[in-house]
Amino acid sequence: MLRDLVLRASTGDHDAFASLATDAYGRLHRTAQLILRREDLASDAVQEALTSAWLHIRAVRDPDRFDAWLNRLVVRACYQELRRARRRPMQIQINTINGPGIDDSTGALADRDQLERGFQHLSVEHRAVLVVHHYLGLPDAEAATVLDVPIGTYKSRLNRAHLSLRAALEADARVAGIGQESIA
Amino acid sequence: MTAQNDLDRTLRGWFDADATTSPPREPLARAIESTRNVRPRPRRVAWIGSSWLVEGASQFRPRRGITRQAWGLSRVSSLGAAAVTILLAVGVGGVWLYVGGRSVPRSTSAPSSPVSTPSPEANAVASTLYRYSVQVPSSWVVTFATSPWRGNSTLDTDATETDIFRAGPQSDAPAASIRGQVLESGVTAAAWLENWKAREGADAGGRCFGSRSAWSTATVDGVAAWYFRFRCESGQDPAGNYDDYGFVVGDEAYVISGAPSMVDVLTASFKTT
Repeated sequence: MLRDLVLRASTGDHDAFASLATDAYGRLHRTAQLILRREDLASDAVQEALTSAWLHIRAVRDPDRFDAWLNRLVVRACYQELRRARRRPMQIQINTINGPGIDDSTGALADRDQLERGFQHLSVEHRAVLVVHHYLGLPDAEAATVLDVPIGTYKSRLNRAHLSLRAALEADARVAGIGQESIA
Repeated sequence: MTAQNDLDRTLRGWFDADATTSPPREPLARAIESTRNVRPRPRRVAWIGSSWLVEGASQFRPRRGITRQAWGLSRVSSLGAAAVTILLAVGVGGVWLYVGGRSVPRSTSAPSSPVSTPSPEANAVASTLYRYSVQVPSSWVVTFATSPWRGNSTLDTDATETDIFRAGPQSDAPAASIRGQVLESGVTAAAWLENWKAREGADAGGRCFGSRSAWSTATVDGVAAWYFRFRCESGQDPAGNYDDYGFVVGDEAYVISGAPSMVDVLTASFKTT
């Protein structure tokens, strides 16, 4: 089905492309949102990726790899959006990522906040590698392809991202501990 | 290991929880609407800026014993190769000046080409598969073709059959390409060019976000070349602009396509070897 749609889209069938885009949209948007942590940037990145996919649809050599290509385009668009955002005047950052559910315990909420702060300290490349690995759950070879890096670079980058996140979480915990001590 | 597993589990749970909401539909609607009246780029140039997976390092597949390599020209080995090539070029140039230059032009000159001069920091690059060299800025990255351009009847091509020049290390940097093929027995240069023009012109004409200019002629490596320019009429997508040159030197036909400013550099410095 997907293969057929890709082949039709590559002949200029826009309806086929719209079906492909609709099917992939949820995954692409969540990926961008997880990497960028901002709804406005994520939306721009996904729109950019889908537009690029249509313009370059005739570059598709293997329809079975269309999804991997889309993933790559959205990761690349995330990098570009972040670069653009840094050049823009300072904006008020509104994080609209889903808040905790009503059954969240205080502990879970603290963990989420801590993770959010730690994640914000990471470079976009480190965020991307964590999202591709943990959220998309791709095998190493495909994850490397999506990130457009050799597999060795992917593995070392993933390792460094984990170390950086852990260091950020530990630093955050130390700051929180100092804060609690001074209150006491 | 346990700590790593804990972190993995925590991250996965956090991502999954964050990803439970439905994303807004407006970006999807905007993307579909904005592309509805836009035609995709022609296959011939669609790979430029496409980030298609064949260009990824993990997709590296050398063929026919020719190593495909991405040359960062700032690398020491590349600099060494470039230095040797420049020294050779200077030596050959000196001999050429000494003996008074070429006495016979290779072909009749065509009207002047809209080309630019390579920067003084240009490096010489010799194709590993095709018989030419060019002078390109040291910041450019070159990926050589790994298999010859076949396309005898269709003239179709893909990224593995072209030498790709990028304006920077990013795979979405502006790009241009050079490909060549030896004329089949019995095919004249004029016939090849007519065939190429017919296909190339038909493929570009009437498509999508822009239009192509009329065919014009220019001089590349001392021979007459045909070219057209394709431009996005809205001016909103400069990455969609490209120039396309075709010419025949001796028994080999060449096509140079891609970002206009890069094509200018390539056509200005192109020399068969």
